[in-house]
Amino acid sequence: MGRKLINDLIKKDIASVTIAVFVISILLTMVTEGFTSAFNLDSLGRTIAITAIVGFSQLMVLSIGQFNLALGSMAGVTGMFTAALMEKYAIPVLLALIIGALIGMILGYIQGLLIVKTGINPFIITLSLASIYLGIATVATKSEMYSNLPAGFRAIGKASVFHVPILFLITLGVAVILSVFMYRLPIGRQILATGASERAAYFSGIKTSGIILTAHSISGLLAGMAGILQVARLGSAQLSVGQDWMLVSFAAPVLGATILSGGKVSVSGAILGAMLMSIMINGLVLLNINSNWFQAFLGVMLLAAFQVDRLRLSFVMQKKI
Amino acid sequence: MSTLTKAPSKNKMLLENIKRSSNFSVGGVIILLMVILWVMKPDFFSQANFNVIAKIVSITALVGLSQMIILAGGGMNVSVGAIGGLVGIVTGGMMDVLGFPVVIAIVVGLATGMLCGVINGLIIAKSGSSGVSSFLTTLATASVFTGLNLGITKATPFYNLPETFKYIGSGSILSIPILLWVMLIVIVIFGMGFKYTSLGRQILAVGGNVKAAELSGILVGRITVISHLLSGLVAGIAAVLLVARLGSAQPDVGSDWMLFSFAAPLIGGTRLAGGKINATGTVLGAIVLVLISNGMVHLNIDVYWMNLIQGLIILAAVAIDRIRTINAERMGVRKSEY
Repeated sequence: MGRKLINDLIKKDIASVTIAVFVISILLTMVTEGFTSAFNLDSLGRTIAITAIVGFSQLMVLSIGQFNLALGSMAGVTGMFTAALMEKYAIPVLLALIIGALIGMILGYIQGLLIVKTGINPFIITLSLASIYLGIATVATKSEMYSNLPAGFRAIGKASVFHVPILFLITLGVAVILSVFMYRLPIGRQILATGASERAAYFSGIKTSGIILTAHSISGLLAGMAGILQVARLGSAQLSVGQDWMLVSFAAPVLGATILSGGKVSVSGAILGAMLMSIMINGLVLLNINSNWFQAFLGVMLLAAFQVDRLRLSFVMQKKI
Repeated sequence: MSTLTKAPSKNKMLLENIKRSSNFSVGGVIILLMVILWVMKPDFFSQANFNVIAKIVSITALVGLSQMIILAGGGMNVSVGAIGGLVGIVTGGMMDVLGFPVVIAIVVGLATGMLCGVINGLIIAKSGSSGVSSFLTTLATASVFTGLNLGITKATPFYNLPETFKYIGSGSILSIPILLWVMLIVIVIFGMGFKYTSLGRQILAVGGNVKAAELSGILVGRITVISHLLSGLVAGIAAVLLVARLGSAQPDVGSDWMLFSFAAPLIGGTRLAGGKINATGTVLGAIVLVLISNGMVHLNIDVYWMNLIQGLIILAAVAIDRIRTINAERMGVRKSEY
């Protein structure tokens, strides 16, 4: 009976995470005082928005069965660079945003290029690039902080439309574009095919190296976006932006039905995964639990997510057989 | 007569082997670095600086060894630093807060490291012992271990450590730091272990080809658990030595170990994909890393460059590993290795 219930939930893919989000929200509403206050929901919305984009960035490379460990550093570099453009060189906000997004994309492209051209293990490439990108940002800025950012830029992080934070609307927009890209366009199908089996994809005439480059470029673009939005939200750019994103970047998509080994992703699932992570952390804060324990909690969550992933995978296998 | 004609060719082959070994090239790099540093800073080779370098090398080499044990079996352990941090805190806390004797504190600390390793190993073995699952599992457990560390300490260090414990970090035997002795003994044990014990050969067999190892009757799951236990133990030893050297148990012990835990063995000729290790090479790799970072301090290079240069070094190390593999494949050497 219990086994059957679990299987049913897995069959519905994102049903489990949806139910978890609801149950925990209801529990927190009953147990804590401030959970449903306008202030808390507003701040929660902004956190979810940025976490979801971080999750999308990892989702893009998970779709081809690879990882992006440099995602946090890409976000940091892009955030710092965009802020420097606006503060030091007085470049208009819109132009700075476009250049910033391009920078993120280029950082991802370089990563993809190294993976495709050198044949070195992608894990080591993204690990060392994480250090190299952060190093470049550190050297270029000397650990400076940019806090005199234009009001127009900061409004992106602060303002709301009809009580919905702009950040959240941006995330929804990105999610729609990403869904169309992954599910409706041929390139999206090719990415998923490459993730499911690179060899099979290659022999069916897909240019897999181009696909890997595309996936990493988009991952870089999204990481850069998340970095810029985080800077807008904080109102200042510092090197620590993105440095603690690695764990959530995996947890959000995996909780939301994306398979780690590639070939299957869920954009809406990643949003739900981001919601679950953010709500739980918000709950810990409201329950007055010492923030030193959060990291342990995040780790347990990620382990749980992997177990769900494993169950899901073995279920998919069973169905195939 | 025949022995006379054979002798030179044997010598020549030995020479050829030495030339081709990674230790030879890494040794060359070390000598080159030393000459550069010596020319630019003659006081680089003072006894005091030698001691400093020897101690840092000892800890770095053990961190590298901890990773090497896992790389040997084709896995990855990104929780090396987190285990180190937890062991350091447990050992320090046992002595400072609970007042346990030094020996017991160290034993409990190392047991903690092994326990962390066993937890890693069990979860990974359950999800199929693949490289991907080892990376993701240890990524998650690293967060759990670090969280426990911060939760226990509330992010404040333990300062009141007994003098006998601190002596491990500052003392010398035969004018060689105790830290270096410990490292050498551990490296020799593991180097021999991988060469001569069936456990060592089994770990390497799993790293070489999991399927083949499983089919030849090796219990892959058991090997995964044991290798993670050993990795946790070595990470624990590194942490205890570091705490002894610093004279206080900081919660951030190990937080910067991830990159050079990979760099030291990879520079030294351990293969990332598993199945081939080099314990001596790991020490040499650690020496390269420490000479570069210590040299940068001596040459007054901005600390801002640190991250960038470390990242480039590890990328260079794997690039060399890659070239070596391609060359070996071309020469057919790789076949004979298995």
